[in-house]
Amino acid sequence: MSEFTIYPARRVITMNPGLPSAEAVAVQGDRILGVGDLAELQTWGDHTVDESFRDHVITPGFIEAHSHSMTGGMWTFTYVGFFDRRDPEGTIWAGCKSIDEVVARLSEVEAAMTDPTESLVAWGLDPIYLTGERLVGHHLDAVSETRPIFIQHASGHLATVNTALLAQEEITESNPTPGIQLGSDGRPNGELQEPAAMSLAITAQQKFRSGLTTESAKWNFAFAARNTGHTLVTDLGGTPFTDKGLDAWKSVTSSPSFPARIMVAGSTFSTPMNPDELAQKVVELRDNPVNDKLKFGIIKLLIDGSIQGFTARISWPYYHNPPKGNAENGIWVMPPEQVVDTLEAHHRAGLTVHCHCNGDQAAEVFISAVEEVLERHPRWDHRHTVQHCQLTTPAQYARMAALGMHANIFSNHIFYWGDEHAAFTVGPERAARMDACATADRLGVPFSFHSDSPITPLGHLHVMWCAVNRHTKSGEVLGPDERISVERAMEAATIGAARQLKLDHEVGSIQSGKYADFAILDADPYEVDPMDLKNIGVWGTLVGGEKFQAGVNS
Amino acid sequence: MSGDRIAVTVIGGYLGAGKTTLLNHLLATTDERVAILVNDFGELNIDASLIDAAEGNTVSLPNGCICCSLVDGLGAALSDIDQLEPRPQRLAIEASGVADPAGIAAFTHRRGYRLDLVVVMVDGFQFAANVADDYVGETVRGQVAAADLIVINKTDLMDDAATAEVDALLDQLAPDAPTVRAVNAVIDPAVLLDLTPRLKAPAMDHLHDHAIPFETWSYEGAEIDLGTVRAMAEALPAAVVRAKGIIATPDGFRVFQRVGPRWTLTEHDTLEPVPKVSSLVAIGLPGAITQRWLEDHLENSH
Repeated sequence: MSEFTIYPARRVITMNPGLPSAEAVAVQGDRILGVGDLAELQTWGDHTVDESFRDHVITPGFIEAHSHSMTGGMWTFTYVGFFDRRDPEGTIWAGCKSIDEVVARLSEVEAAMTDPTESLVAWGLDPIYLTGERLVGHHLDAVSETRPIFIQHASGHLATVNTALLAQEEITESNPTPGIQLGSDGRPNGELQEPAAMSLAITAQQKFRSGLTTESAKWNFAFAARNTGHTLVTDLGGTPFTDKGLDAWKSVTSSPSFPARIMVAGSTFSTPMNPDELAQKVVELRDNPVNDKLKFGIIKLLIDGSIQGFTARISWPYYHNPPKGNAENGIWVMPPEQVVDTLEAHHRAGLTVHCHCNGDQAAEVFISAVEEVLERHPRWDHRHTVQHCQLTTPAQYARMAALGMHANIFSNHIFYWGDEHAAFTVGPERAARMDACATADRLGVPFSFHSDSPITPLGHLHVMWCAVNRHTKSGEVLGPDERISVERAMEAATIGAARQLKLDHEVGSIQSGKYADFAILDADPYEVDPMDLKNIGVWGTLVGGEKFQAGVNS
Repeated sequence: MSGDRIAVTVIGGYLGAGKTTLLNHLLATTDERVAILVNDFGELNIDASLIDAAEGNTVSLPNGCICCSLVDGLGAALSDIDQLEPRPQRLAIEASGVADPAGIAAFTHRRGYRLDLVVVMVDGFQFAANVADDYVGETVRGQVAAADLIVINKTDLMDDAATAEVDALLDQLAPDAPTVRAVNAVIDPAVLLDLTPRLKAPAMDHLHDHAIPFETWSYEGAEIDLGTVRAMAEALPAAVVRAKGIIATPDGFRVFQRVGPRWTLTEHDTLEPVPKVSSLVAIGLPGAITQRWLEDHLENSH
């Protein structure tokens, strides 16, 4: 037997129930040679013992089965949010606590720009946290009266621009687009609300969009994964399956220093193909891998909107306390009658379909479509997955179990919007059973959970913390009976996600023969107070046996 | 910014209402350079025989039209289309069967574009059931409420009771929108396109047998003051779908344009200053106004 490396650790958590815990793991090349105690592993022959992780806990690398690669692209632009935030290179950007601090940061960036006509694009602004007057266009004129400036707010639904941008794009008070906010002088004050008005900032929006899909955005996405202990992340819709869109992924993942595996979902929402053509393309990509890091085989569909935006399709009695003038129910993103045909094309091709269903009415449409398609084309082990699965009812989970479906649950919502769900969107009772990991578990539906990054920050330790504790921002426990154990949460973050992606033969647990994909943690998730799960430090990861330290970019 | 603004036609309506058929009629009858925007190519069922070449997210049609998909969002698609060479004169957006046409129209008030007409197709045979449906009722109700013009399609499948039911629903859901009936989505395409004043009103002889004729009215006269034109614009009933005029005023020529409820009066300095003749054409539901109405409103109020 040729050389291999043994990593002793404070504990190796394998997520293989046949051997849940061990003293060390042995790695040869990109694979796990064995797991056990030191003496057992040494019987394989010549080896080195690497003591780097002697004081760390080794777990299977976390797998995020619902994220988006634009996570990495945001950092192409200037961060002006209120909270401190770590960029993919590990630098902490201090929050901007006042209008002056926003202006100061932008001025610094502006001074370093060479092309005087280029737009300055920034993100993360959340004006409700800034005391005093609201930040509007004239504050940004202090940064520049000639260079267009565009700031996207943290919500993604608003933007603030300066006077130079208003002039560049001819945005005036006579423009009838809804969402152009006017100042006391009756002229646009620089705030643009909702996508139609935001799209008037044509040049800045073009720059923003192109920055989200660059190769550097893809690298940053992988760096962010590494910093949070993920060894496999998904780009769940957003990549066009054109030569250009796919070549960018092939190029970055072929570098040995790319620190994550990535599963890229196909979607007719981002690819101009009909479902049959797309299915054929995805099958071809799945069956002809270009390297070990780039994975294909799943399809993303979207049925409805978001609960916090009152656009998810939910069942009677609909929304609890919506804004005045709001529609009774949410929106369909695709016609419910079309779901069966679209699903059928992908199902027959042998692919797994991951369908965005925030509301229970949307979930009902998808589950019924799966049932109808299975009657026409029986197929074992499809693992079609309800994504978000936020209001899915016990009756629906029971059907999902019977149909062989999986659930990927948006547990981070409990913290980020749980208070709002109880007070405004669905009311206390339904909020308490949202993101019902315990119900899925009781009824036998295999599940994972997710951040939907960049909607909420990438980080399975935080998602685990949410699913285990169900604490909202205000500190309330929302639906204590839907809390799950740390064991179940660890499964959802590793092997559960791997199964959902049909990659559990390769990743998701630490056992002989699988890829050596590990998260290296500073503390043991089973030993810390469950409220401290989200605070566990991450040294970094091993991906295919290669060490990737958090915050250290090669 | 280069040249004229691209006129945007939004075609909305639920699945199966005849949006693509109407689009094909539009393409077959216009001699404008038209770009088409579809929600995704999965829904694209433009006659395959019309497709010339496909590349990336665009499909070229032999008559010079180009068809784009909405994969990067509406804002991005509008930016891309504005850069096309040669630049289109019209953009027809076929909305998804569940899209809100008003939401799409909201994107068009931008550099390089002007909103022309929001036409919403109604499947006469299915409409009442769709309106009452727990899943899609609210969506369908919102669609017709956003219309400048409603086309009730498939009237050959409707009996008198069904006709009365659809009429009653539309009276309630979209009381101001003019409504026409059609079979196979065949309507007079003139109502979908810009009118050309100083020329004859659109000829009707190219129509299919089934086409529902609209009525046209025209006016030619002397100088008119702006207040009179504005008063006429406000008084035009909703059943007049379009009107366009070149108006000689004491302050120079103005272009008057009205589509659905929207009207504008803009300077037009490229025209020759003499003779000082005002002209205006309008098209709408039969009997919406009369020739006399135009004369009264443009001549007698001052």
